[in-house]
Amino acid sequence: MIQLTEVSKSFQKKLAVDRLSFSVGKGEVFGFLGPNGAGKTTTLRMMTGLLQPTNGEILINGMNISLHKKNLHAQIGVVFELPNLYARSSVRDNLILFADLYGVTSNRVIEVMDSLQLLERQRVRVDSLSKGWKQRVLIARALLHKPKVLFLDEPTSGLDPNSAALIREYIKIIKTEGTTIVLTTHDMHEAEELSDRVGIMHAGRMVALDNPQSLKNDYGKAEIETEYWQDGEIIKTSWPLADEATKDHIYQLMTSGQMISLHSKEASLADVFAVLTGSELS
Amino acid sequence: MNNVLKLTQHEFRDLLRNPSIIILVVLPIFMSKVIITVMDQSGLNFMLLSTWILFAQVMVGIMITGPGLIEERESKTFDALLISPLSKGQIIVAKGLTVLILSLLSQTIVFLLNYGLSWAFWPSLLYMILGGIVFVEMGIIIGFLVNSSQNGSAVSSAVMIIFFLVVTVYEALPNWTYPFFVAWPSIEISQNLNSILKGDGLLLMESLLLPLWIVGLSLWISRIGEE
Ligand SMILES: Nc1ncnc2c1ncn2[C@@H]1O[C@H](COP(=O)(O)OP(=O)(O)OP(=O)(O)O)[C@@H](O)[C@H]1O
Ligand SMILES: [Mg+2]
Repeated sequence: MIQLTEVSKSFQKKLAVDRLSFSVGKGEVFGFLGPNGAGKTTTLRMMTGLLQPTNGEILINGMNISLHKKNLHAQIGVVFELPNLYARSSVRDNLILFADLYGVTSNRVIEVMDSLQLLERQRVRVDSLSKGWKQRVLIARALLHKPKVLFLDEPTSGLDPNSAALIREYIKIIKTEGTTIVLTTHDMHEAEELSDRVGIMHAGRMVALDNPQSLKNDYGKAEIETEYWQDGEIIKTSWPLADEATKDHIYQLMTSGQMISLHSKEASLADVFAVLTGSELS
Repeated sequence: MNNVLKLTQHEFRDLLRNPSIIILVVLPIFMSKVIITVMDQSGLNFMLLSTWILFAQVMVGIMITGPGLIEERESKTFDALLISPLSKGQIIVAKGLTVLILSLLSQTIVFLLNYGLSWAFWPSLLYMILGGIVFVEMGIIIGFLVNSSQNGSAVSSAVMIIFFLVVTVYEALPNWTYPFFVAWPSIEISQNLNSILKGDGLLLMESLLLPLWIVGLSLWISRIGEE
């Protein structure tokens, strides 16, 4: 569905995206991870035709986005990083404008508002809405014309856990309808929960790309966490699951009756992220 | 074309929800009435009707278009339009058209309020439209070239004052300087309007230069738009 080949983007001298190649299949949810400034938004903007790549080519549905912009724009929806709505207009007017431009019926507008529980607030001015509600309006706007591909740039950032969960559930529903989805996030659980595959970007490069489980197998370290008595004190220790010596430690603790508790702790995507992107701020 | 009108309609409503826009449209009307009345009573032949029509053109055209476009680029609503079925050209035309309508509204009221409806309105309307387009185009260029709202207002004000001031100044200067001033669109407009209002008809050179400005500025805009 989406195919990037050797895509680069530089701003003046700075190389923001460096020879990116990957593809996203039809109906797939692709999660983009990476530290601040890694180049996620820049890549998304190139995929949606808002930025021209310095090098390389991007195909959506077999068509080059630079050459078939308007044709492809009819097939994609974008939820932007910033809530770029008309602040002085109501929820409804914001949606009606784009519905008119896309040639979408007013029934569809009501349907989309209904699915995001926006009907009650449709007459409210957007600048008086909270962040979570603005995000719903953004999603509604992106879905009006039933796009085949949906891009979401940090759809849950800054939202309370309930609003974020609601939006995640909604994204899952869109996925079941067969929409191809590309999303960026800083929330590792979210990436894992939603994505079929995850790409981790660092300093403009794609440093890993696979399904979450394989990434954890490859880069994460599963551990065994134990609590045990030693000289009248409770000690907590973790040992790598894969290590030969671990079983001896455990055996010894269990036979001596020192063991209090024993948990296996599987590797998380956050571990993978830390390994691949380092801890330094970029 | 249909889509352009849809966006124009939305722009119109959005602008009218903004109190500062209303002030920009009404201010020339208000100032023209006050100052022309004062000038009449004191018998001075200065700051005539043509000056105030021009003021409305420059004020509405530059001060609404420039900062408005910058605000839209900053808030990224412009990006949302760019990924809609509208082309860049259509978006620019729709935005320009909206302000042009407001500009013509302001100019027309200035004319009618101070001069009444006479035959002179119709040829004057031509220059209201041509001048309206020129200054909206300048606003669009400022809106694309300047990157922050604060700078935008400052640059827009400076450009507005320069084009307005030149009209109040050039008449005091010696005749040989005129060939230099005639290149300014604001002078071309006020000269023609003065001539129409005196009953002398249109001025050839001044009239021909205006479409040149419009074409030149359009080319500039389409070049910026491509980037
Ligand atoms: N218009 C621009 N002009 C110059 N530099 C830019 C521009 N847009 C982005 N950059 C630079 O490109 C790099 C990548 O930015 P980008 O916004 O794509 O990062 P990101 O991965 O989306 O980060 P975040 O997680 O903070 O949203 C950054 O170093 C940024 O400063
Ligand atoms: Mg970003």
